[in-house]
Amino acid sequence: MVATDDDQRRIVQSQNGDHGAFESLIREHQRMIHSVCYRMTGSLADAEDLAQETFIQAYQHLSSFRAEARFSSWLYRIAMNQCLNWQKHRQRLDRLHKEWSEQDQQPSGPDAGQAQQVQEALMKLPPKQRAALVLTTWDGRNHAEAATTLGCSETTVSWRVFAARRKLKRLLKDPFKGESSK
Amino acid sequence: MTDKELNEGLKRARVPEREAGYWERFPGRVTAEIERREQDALARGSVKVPARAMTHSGTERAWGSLLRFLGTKPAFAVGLATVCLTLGFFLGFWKGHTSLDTDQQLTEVRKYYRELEALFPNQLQAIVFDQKGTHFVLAQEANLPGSTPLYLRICGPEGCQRFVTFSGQQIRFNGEVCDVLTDREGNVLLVGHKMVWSSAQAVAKAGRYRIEAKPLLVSS
Repeated sequence: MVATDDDQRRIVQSQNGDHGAFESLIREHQRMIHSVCYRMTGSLADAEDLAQETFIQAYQHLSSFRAEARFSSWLYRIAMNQCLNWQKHRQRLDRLHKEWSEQDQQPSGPDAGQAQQVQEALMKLPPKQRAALVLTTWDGRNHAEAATTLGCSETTVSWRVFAARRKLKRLLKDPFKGESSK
Repeated sequence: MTDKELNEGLKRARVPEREAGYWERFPGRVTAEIERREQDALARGSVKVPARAMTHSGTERAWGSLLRFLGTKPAFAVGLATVCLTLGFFLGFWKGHTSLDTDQQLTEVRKYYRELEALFPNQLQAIVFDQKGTHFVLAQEANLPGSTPLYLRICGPEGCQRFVTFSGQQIRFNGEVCDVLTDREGNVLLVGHKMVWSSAQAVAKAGRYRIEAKPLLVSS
């Protein structure tokens, strides 16, 4: 997959200081990037910060983007790196727990409770396993594509996905049973 | 739990929706933050003399890119810094042993320029002589077009600064970044946000500053 002509045109315009062109790129990819950041952090606020940082990093490194790759894949890789680095900032967990407790009091749909449980279970996975699972489960990437994004081998991705799923089955067993029996 | 049940459970777990208007505002917030960071970088003086013959914002980005590149290549950055420090030391030592009258200053400046241009052909963007010593600024790559070097001397309350630079470059003084340009008659122009100065003016003053500018003749 390669960058489309339209992507390429907007990238060149952005490099020449056209913020309108860059905003158009953001508009196209912002939901995907927010989504991966939320899956990785479990926090809307942190996802917002990381998504913003992802686009800023992308803007600052546009010159290193190679047109033989898809712009979205390149962006995705930056986002994933941002998220994995975020994991190192453990102090943010306090904020996360606080936000979860607030979100618990704000039901927003029939599946909100279960979504919350899934997210909490995701947060219990090691970051690299979570990254592999997010890429392959919600973003439709195959193991080879995920391996490129994560900078590891396909076998490693497969193993991480396997391990993540095994742990999730254990963590989510009771909640899913509970939902299905209702 | 089967794989199918797990998949269904995971797929049903949706990302919480953002409030209405969030997606409209977000791109503008990102570009505003980019601009703010660029302004901060400028204010810190990390952007001094960006690449020649580029637009104002393009030059800022080019210099920013160099800094970011150096940030990602610490070994290269340390190497470059060492070279600059070493050359700065020798230039300072050399300068300290020269007399200070104007003709000799110009001779000295020409010598610096010839030496540095020989060391860094098509890469030298500026040489700055100020109270802190002598520094020079290099482009990231040796691809600058050849043009006549310009000599500028700017004296104000804080003392005098001298520059060797080129049309299309930028210099920082009086708290702002000014473009250095030449017109068809060979006059040197300094264009900033708050001032425009030309060497063609009868009284060559810009506020509290006295400015001299002329081509630096370097024929050997």
